[in-house]
Amino acid sequence: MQVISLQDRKESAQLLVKIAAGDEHALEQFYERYFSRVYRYVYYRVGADHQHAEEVVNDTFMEALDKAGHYDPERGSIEAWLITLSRNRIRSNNASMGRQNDYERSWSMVDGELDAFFADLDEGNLPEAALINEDLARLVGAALTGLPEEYAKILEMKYIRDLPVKDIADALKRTEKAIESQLTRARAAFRDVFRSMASDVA
Amino acid sequence: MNTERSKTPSGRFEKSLRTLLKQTHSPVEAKPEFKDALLQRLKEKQQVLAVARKRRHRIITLTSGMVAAAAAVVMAFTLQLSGTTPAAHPANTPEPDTRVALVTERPSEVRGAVMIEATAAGHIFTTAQGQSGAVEVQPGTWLVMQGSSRVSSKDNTLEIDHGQILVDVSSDAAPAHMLLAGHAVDIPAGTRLTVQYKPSELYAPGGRPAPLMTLMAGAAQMVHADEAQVLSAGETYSLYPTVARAIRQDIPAEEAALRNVDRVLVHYTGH
Repeated sequence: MQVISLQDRKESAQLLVKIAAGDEHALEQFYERYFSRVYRYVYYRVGADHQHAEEVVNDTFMEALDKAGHYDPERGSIEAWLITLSRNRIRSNNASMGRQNDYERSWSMVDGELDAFFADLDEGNLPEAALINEDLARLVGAALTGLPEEYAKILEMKYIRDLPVKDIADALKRTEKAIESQLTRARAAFRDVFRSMASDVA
Repeated sequence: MNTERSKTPSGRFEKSLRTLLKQTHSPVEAKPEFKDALLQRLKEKQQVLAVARKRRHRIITLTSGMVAAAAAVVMAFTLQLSGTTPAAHPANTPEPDTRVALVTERPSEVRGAVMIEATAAGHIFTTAQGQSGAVEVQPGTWLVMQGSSRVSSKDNTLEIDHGQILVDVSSDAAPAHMLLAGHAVDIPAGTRLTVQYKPSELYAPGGRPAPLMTLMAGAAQMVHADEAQVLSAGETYSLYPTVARAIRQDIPAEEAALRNVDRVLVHYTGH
């Protein structure tokens, strides 16, 4: 897993310091860097509803602006900080609206037998027809967006865009061996995130 | 994937993963208009917050009323009005922001008052006793500050020896937003509220006074973290800078009202 060093975080934190001081260019940079990531993360966790996602993302970035001067790089990356803010927003919105956790609803729609689903996953027996399912798509999207961005990116390049490892290595300016290692870790991380979403529900 | 690898546990999982991702993936993008609009809102908020923080060193005070002038503590209230040309702008202040309200001043029919009209949308920034605030204005917004006042053309400030602010958002106007003592207050249409400073017992720890806000009609709302606090008509609240919530005071609304001021009004017009 690519480690975001404390030094990297401190440098990123400077962006927030500039934002807190009123630097509009810094705000634009920050926004461009993190908006899509936050939006996708939220989208899959609010029932794939754009309107709801917009509300949460709006509130998340407004809150981030309020707290820009208080971000502490020692406690985690800016990405993790934003994800946490958005997660709290979703939770409080769900609580105030009486909404069920989106995972619970989606899992109940996908398959009541979670163990059987994972057995199929591990055995490579997933029937393609069974995958045309909106709830499953949301869960997969939620799992992907729950991964560190570099993992989600490499899984997309390999399994969705079908790029050979060599092409991925060239694009990311890394060796093929490094890409193979990262793919192994990314797959394991996906499995862990997917399972943990299920255990949140069970 | 080669045949041998596909027979291994990790190979089987990889096969499933490929199927899963291929079948379920669909790109998700926010609507461009939402993305652009949110950035614009963030920029506007950023300017309000940044200027409010920079104004904290300005020490101003605001008198609480005209009645017992001898007993009242006289405080001066300074409005920082932006929108001047760069040449006229004092050093170490932010660049003129075209979105900040431009104002004109004229004599008021109210004795001892000055009327100020905003000619552009933006914010009028306020500071009192080291606390910063901002009031959002639209073209046609006007405010009347009663009491002796003078305008300094050098740095475009309005200084008032006595006075209060009444914020009146008419029922057909857009909601207003006010930043006061570090608290963001949302003021919906049909709301009237007053803001004043009162000495003595309402001083926060450290000797800094807390503005008093009285809701005359309607309701206002303050948001702290995930919680919205609704402020009700007929109630008076202190806004301590160090306390997240507005603290309700047991002060009869009549006492806190502008009974000794003929007319002090901030009237929001336009969209």
